[in-house]
Amino acid sequence: MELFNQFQGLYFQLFIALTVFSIGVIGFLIRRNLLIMLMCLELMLNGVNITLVSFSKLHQDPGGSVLVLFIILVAAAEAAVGLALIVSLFRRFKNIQVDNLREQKN
Amino acid sequence: MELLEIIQFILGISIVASSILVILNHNPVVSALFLLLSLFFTGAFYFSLGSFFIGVVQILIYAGAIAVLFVFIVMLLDLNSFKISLPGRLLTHFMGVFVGVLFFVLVTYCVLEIPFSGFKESSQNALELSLTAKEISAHMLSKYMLAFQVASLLLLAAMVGVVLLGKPSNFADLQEKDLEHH
Repeated sequence: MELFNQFQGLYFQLFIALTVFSIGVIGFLIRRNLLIMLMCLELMLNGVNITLVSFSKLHQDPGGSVLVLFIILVAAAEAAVGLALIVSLFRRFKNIQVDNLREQKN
Repeated sequence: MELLEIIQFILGISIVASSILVILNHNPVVSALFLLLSLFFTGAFYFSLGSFFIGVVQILIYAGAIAVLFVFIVMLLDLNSFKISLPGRLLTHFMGVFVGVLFFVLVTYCVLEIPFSGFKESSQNALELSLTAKEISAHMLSKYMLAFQVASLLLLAAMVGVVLLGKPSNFADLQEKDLEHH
């Protein structure tokens, strides 16, 4: 309990990060809209970022913050490519529900 | 409780609430707007932690560019024309929520089992010990120089890929013309 009081702020930050990541996982599994699945990927990356910033803050180490910058960069690239793929899928099939895409594949 | 802790608490709850609304909404436009809100609150959360540079970058790039890109694409596509309900969706929902909650519980258990010892100080005086843009950029341009350059290559590759994907019909036509020539 003493340990918990000592790191109360850290535990709260980790709790928020884990909750956001889990919401991303759940949304990725239960939603069938490709756009919303991509949004859930962004949410998961966001949760990881919160963890990295918390620990970077705790250790006073800029390495974690640098890693957050790189993750934001990769997320930007991923969002751009993913959205381009979704737009071209929509042009071809007029649909972005993954269930329907599975039927239209063959 | 200090004022900063209360603000941090409110921001954390707001992040979680808007993230839940992202996945519960049936309208993708509203979903994208809640994603924007969630990313914005995350930026404010970084401010409350004292990481001002990361907070600014989060709001500029994440909330300002990526989330707006999402909103733009959602409005570009006409998504209201199809709504399906396949049999077996309930089981999928149940399994998805089960896996997510299981993940949450297991990771919580593991984190609580870790003996957090050896840390110098807790993050009580968050605002005094802030990581400035100077420190972060000094690290990024010296120790992580190679990663920085590889990241620029990644951005270039993504840009070329998006341009190529953006014109599928023209690209296919070109390929067909090539085939006809040969």
